[in-house]
Amino acid sequence: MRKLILGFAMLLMSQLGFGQAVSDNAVVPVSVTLNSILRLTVVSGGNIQFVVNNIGDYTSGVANTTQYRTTFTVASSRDFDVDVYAEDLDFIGTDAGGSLLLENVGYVVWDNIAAAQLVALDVLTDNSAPVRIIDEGAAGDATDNEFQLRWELGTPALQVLSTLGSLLSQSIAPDNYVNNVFIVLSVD
Amino acid sequence: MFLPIKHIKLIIFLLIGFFYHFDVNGQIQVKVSITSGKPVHFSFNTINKYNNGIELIDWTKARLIVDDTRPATITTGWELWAFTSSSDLECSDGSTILISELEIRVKPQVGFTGTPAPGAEVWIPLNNNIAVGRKILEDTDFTSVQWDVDIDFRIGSGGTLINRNWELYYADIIFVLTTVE
Repeated sequence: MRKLILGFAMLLMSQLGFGQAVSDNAVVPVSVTLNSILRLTVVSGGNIQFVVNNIGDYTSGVANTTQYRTTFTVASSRDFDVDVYAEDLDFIGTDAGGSLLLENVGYVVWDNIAAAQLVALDVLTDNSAPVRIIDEGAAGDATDNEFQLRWELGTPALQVLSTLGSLLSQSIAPDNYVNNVFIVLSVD
Repeated sequence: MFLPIKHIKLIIFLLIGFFYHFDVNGQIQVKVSITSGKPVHFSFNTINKYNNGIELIDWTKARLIVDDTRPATITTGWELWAFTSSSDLECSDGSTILISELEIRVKPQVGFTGTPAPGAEVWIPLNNNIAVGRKILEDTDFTSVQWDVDIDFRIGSGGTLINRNWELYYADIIFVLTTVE
């Protein structure tokens, strides 16, 4: 009788064991590559040339007009910063080799998408003191991020900022003065 | 030479139990296999993809086989679950993407009688709780059934991957096919 009970118990236990759910599995690896997208494109105004050819220009400078505008776009998948600085300490005369102080040139930064001024008038600096013209720009493509540097030379407002006075007061030798300006895009 | 009567009774009893056991438990076959579309890779290389995300439609194909001859008093159906190896898509620099940002959509072939019905599939975010997983397909028909399913994947819809670190992120999805009892 005891063996019968034991047999029943074993049978019951075996049923419980087979009462478990049966399963199978398959594994699928998933990967996501986030590539860097960080592009700055100068759309127009890659070569700005001011012509000073009368006393009025020497005293009041050359105000910004459409021909003195550098338009650039940014495409970035992350928030970004843009810095501006000149390559050399001064504008260098190509003929006589004289120099024109950087601070005679200034710019306003304009947001073309928002149609609003982004940064107030500032003077141009060299690479020892780059100016951050866009801080934490929002990630997006070129249609979201189009900006403009609106250049001017020796205007009264710039004379105040630079404390250099007018071009005339600086008695600058006639020459063709050049410099390169870097517009540098980086991840915020 | 001859066994005692009580031993013979015991042997007969155990034999009856053995056959009864097979009758009750029957044959059970449960198999899930990926027939194509492995691995799954998303490559974000344009701003448009960052803005809108990437969908991989009909990327992975799986075959599900369930053959459970046990009575309905034991088996009530089957389910397909999606688990993940971790709660995040991970990368080498420690940055992460929550696994729930990865969504899947399982599309059974026409004629499937379970849930979701063909044509009524929805995107399902994977579960950050890796112990719980996410049920993605189920049916109550468990005798000699074989279904082929297409699996869609998507991530980054709504621009959720903008401003993430530029890295290679990875995780495993574990599809588990199981009987329900």
